[in-house]
Amino acid sequence: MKRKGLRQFEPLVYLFPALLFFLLFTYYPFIKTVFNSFFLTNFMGVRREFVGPENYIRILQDKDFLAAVKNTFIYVITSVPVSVLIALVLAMVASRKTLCSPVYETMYALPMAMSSSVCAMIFELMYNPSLGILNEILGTNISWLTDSRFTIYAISFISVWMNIGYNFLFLLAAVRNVPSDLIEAATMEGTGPIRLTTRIILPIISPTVFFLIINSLAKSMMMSGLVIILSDGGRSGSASTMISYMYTQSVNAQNYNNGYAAAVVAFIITFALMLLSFGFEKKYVNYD
Amino acid sequence: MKRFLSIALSALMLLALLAGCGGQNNTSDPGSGTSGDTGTPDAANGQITIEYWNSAEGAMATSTEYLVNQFNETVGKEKGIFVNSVFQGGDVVEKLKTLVQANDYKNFPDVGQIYAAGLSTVLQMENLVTLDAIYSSGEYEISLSKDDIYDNFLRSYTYEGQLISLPLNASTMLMYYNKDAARDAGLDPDAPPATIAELAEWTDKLTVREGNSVSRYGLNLQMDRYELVNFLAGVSDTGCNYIGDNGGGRDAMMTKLTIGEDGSLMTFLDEWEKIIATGGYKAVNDDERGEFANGLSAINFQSSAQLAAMTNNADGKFELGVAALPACSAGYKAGAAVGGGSIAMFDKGDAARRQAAWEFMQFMASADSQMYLFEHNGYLPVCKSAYESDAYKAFIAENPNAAVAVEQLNNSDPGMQEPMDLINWEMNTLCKENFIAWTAGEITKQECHDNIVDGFNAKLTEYIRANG
Repeated sequence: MKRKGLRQFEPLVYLFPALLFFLLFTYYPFIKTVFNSFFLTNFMGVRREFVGPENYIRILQDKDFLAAVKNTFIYVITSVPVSVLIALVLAMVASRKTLCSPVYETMYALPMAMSSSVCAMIFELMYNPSLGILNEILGTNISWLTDSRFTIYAISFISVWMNIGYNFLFLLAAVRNVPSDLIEAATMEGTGPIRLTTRIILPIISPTVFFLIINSLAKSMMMSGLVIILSDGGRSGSASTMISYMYTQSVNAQNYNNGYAAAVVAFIITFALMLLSFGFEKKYVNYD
Repeated sequence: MKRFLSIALSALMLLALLAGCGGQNNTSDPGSGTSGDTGTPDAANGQITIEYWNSAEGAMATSTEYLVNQFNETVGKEKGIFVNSVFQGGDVVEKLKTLVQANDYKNFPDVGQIYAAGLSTVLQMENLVTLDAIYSSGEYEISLSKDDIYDNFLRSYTYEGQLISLPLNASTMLMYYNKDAARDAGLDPDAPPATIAELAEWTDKLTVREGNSVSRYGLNLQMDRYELVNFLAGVSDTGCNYIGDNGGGRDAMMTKLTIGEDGSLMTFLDEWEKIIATGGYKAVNDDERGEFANGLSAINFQSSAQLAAMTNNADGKFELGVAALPACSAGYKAGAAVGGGSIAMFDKGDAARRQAAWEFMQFMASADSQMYLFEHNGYLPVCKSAYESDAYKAFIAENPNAAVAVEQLNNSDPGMQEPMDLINWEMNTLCKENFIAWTAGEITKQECHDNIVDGFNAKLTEYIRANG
């Protein structure tokens, strides 16, 4: 049956407000960035001449950018699984509703409500090698944010801490939605807690876990705020990410040429990872 | 019916949204995004409202707010001018650049706070009114004569032969040290080091070692661009080292670093090696000022703008000493570059507004305002008349440390200024990272030298290719 008249456009009307902003603030700048990346651009952002892939060749030979790509992967590998895993454990522990549930639910979820700049400043104080609490407690003398061996993990730790709250909320809802009769039946048949988790609960909540992994993956690939705020005083190269490289090149060094190319490369890598993850989805995620 | 309602509602929401976007263009609204707003001016009375974009943080933010309010209540009230002060983050030029990119000259402020590093950018803005133009056009009522402003400061805001902006908050780098610690270490607290070798000796003696670790560093200093430029001034007979060609990039675009080929960087590194050898030198800035205040380091180099804060931090803990920068070695003369900021005028197409902006600028650079900044921050008065005032003499008598910066400035070659090195952020990273690596023993002195010189020149060539 053919839809008639105005009705045909109805979905578009609903989509329009969101689409408008996507077009204006996402798609248009994206296309412009890709276009500009093939030009030589001066510090005012004016295109001067077409240079083809020159900008890409330069950054792919720049050891700082290559280090940034490597660092980004380290962030992803260290922060995504850990933050989902810890949140999952917390959600399992908190899944049974008791009188004081609201108290620890709130406590676990609270980091979500903190802005990254505030977190950065709090952790900066704790990480301070001479005045900070961390070295005091551990009895160490480590420059967490300036010693290139530790910076990346110190920052990764903050992002894990920040993401736990968000992941926890989603996982708690998912775990609580697992039908109780299913768990009861399994327990009666003598299934242990580990088997119960891996064979029954995990498959049922797998769509949520998948969503969280994709979400954290994208966030970690785009990770930059903490790096820019925290490693500014120290040795920036040792902890920089693709996006922090893009930011410092275009904003601090006023070198849009490197900035545009880095943005596009970061997009391509992230996009490829996303496609890969969706491949896993077909295999491991259970929507039944 | 339900469907119709939902369509109608979403259409309404969209309309509201778009209307909200459109509303942003109303620029003459003085109420938006203000700090230190004391009252809404009445446009019907012929009052002119001008906008001042600043990047004042910390103590300077409080001082800026005070001075703007002071202007609005005195000169402003009398002449019908209201200044709307807007904090624009650490770098006003960055925001102005965004306006230029959008071809939006309508939203420019009348006056903006500009650092020396931003001069080349603002000079390219077509609505800039240079200080030269203000003094030479005859259009403006002048109460602050150009002769009253210190040469060092004028030179600091001169680029390609043009005097661009009016110095506002001027500072120089100083050595801060713990006098009590010096006394305990058997050093004469009133004879601070005059050369790097003496600084090394002080660093060694002031360091407190406990087994393999250091519980108090003799010296804590992260060698950023600012520090290196100032120390390199001390590797010359005159206390002036441009570090790059074309007069440090002020006469024309800098094309290369000269500190490599003229040997001044290596001469400096040869001396600095003595400081590293003491083992009591900390090359990383974890919290230089906080650690110094808590007795975790004994010597620090900071801007004179930190004088008030440093004095407060040390109050009750130890006696704070302040000294001029050391020269590289005996036979050389030390010099200090002028740091800090200036204010520049932008033309909003109205002569009355320009005059109003100029009134405000003169107020900010006047002897009284400058004395206020000197007392509350440590910024050096930019006008000579301030130094002749009774307020100045009284303040110096009570705070002899404040006189050190003034004396250092008087002894410095007016030519010694921060270079216009165009890629100053890259330079900062190069200096910082290579000095840290060298101090940690990860690279040699020669590598530190080459990384800075070659790294800078490569980045500068890249910059010139895109901008030259």
